[in-house]
Amino acid sequence: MPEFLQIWQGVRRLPDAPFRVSGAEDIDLIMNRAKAPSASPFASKDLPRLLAPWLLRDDRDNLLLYKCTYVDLKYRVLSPVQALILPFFSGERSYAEIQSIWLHLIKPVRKAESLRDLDEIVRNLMAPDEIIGLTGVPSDSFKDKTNIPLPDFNRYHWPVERTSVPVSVQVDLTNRCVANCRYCYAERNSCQELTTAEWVVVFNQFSNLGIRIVDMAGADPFMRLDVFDLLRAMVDRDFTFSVSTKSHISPVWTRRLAELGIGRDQTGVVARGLQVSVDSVDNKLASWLTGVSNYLERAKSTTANLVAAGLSPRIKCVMTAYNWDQSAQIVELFSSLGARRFQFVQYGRSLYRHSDDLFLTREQKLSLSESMPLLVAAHPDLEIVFQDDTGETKTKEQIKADWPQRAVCTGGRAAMLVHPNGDVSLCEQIPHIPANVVGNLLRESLLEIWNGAAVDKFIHPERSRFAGTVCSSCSDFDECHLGRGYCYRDALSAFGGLHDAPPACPRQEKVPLRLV
Amino acid sequence: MPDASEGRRKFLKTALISAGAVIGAVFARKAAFASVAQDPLVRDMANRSRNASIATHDDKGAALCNKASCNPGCQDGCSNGCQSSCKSGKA
Repeated sequence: MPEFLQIWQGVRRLPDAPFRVSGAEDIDLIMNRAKAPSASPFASKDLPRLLAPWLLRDDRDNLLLYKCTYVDLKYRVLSPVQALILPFFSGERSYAEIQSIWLHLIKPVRKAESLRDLDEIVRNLMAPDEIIGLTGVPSDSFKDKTNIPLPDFNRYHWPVERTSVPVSVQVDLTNRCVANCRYCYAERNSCQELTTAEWVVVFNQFSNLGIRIVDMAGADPFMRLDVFDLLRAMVDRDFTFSVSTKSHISPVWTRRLAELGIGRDQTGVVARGLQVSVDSVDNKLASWLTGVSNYLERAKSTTANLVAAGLSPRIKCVMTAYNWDQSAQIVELFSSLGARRFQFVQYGRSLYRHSDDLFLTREQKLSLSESMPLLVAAHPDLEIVFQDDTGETKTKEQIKADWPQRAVCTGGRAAMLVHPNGDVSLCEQIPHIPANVVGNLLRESLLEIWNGAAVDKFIHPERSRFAGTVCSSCSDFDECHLGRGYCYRDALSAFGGLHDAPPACPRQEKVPLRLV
Repeated sequence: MPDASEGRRKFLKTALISAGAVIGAVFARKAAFASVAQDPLVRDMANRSRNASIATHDDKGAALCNKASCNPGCQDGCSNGCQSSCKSGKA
């Protein structure tokens, strides 16, 4: 077993039982715990199913379960026992049949207890994420019954630190943008761009590796003359993604988007979203924030065109100290144009064009925390989501308690980014400079890059790179870097370097720059 | 005085029905097991798992965190999960 996996097991504090045990062991003995009887999650005749948009993927050394949507990146490398039973949740077998299959495969000594173990495994797949259920569109994993992804137990590795192939790839088609927003976090340096044909070759690589989440990062894709060719190529390869724009979308462009099904709200169809940026109902303020004259009228026209074509754009607003009190007016104005989805996020520090006066004050944050739920409640027919950050300072105890539960840095573990020129890096929010580039898709294949030394070195940096920081002598250094990793972007934004403990680390002693 | 043979008849009848139900249930279960064993996917999975043992510590199923978050301010988990479109400065 590779050393990093052994350490990873330690990080996760896995049970003492070895991952692999001798063949005829009983599940009851292995689980070795007394349980109170509890009701099954399903009745015997129920037909539970793996729900869309969850997909199973043969990830070479294990079975991966991921949510195939651009909305939120969620994935699990299935434990062997989950991998054993989940492929039977096609919605065509009753729970009684699944129980029989379980008993047939596990051959337990104490069947009743073993069935309770199955119930527990199933419950863990029902909440908090709705992975298995009785109603809803079934997962596409069972569409081709001759090709259901199955685990290879002869070489099954679990747990693992990173997936064999990225789950998600972000593509920067261009760094160009029609706007020049004061709050934009993007670097937007001048960058050579891959041709249409070169992007198609890249997309083919993704497709051949089974990558379905190919979302867009960077600037405005409509700045490229071949944008519809690229979008067509992405749709043809069944990618899920969201297109975000500040360009004016004419009726002609709208029709082309509608033909591609981008921004169409259809249940059970691969989600492809469309986002229109709106920051103010005051045309002057909107233009000042975006650097585009008459911006509000352009956004209204774009929204009306999209809605007229049957599309459902999401209206996105970045709340700053200048427009923080306009959420209700934005919802009123754009819902009157037919928009049904809204998202409000708070301004965060940009590495490239930051200005402190854009930050929301504590009072503004608290006010939003009170008013936004009321706005949501007042519009039950609309989807309104907002970032609820009150700016409350965490106590040392809270920071200490939260750190072990921090979000995994998916860069290099499950996701990566392709820049306009084919360079690959691991996070869209760190500078596009040679030190942060781990390869280029014009010169190497995606797998060569993903499994190459540069990625390994980037996500497992040497301790010497942290000289002068609390990390350099930290006893948890290996645990930190071989497990969940940490947020490079936060470390860079708060302290000026990638190789430093982020503000969320309980051992960080320096006072960080404000991030949100 | 109640007829003892009538009582015995009823008892025997009940016992026979009960025994029949038990035997029926056992056969039904065996039949269900037999049909499960014939399922090609079950056979395939049984073959795949035959020589490899499967420890069953489930650990809630998440070997990797299932809530990645890259947005400043939602490191504790955005209510909508990680969204590229959630990022503060994204159009």
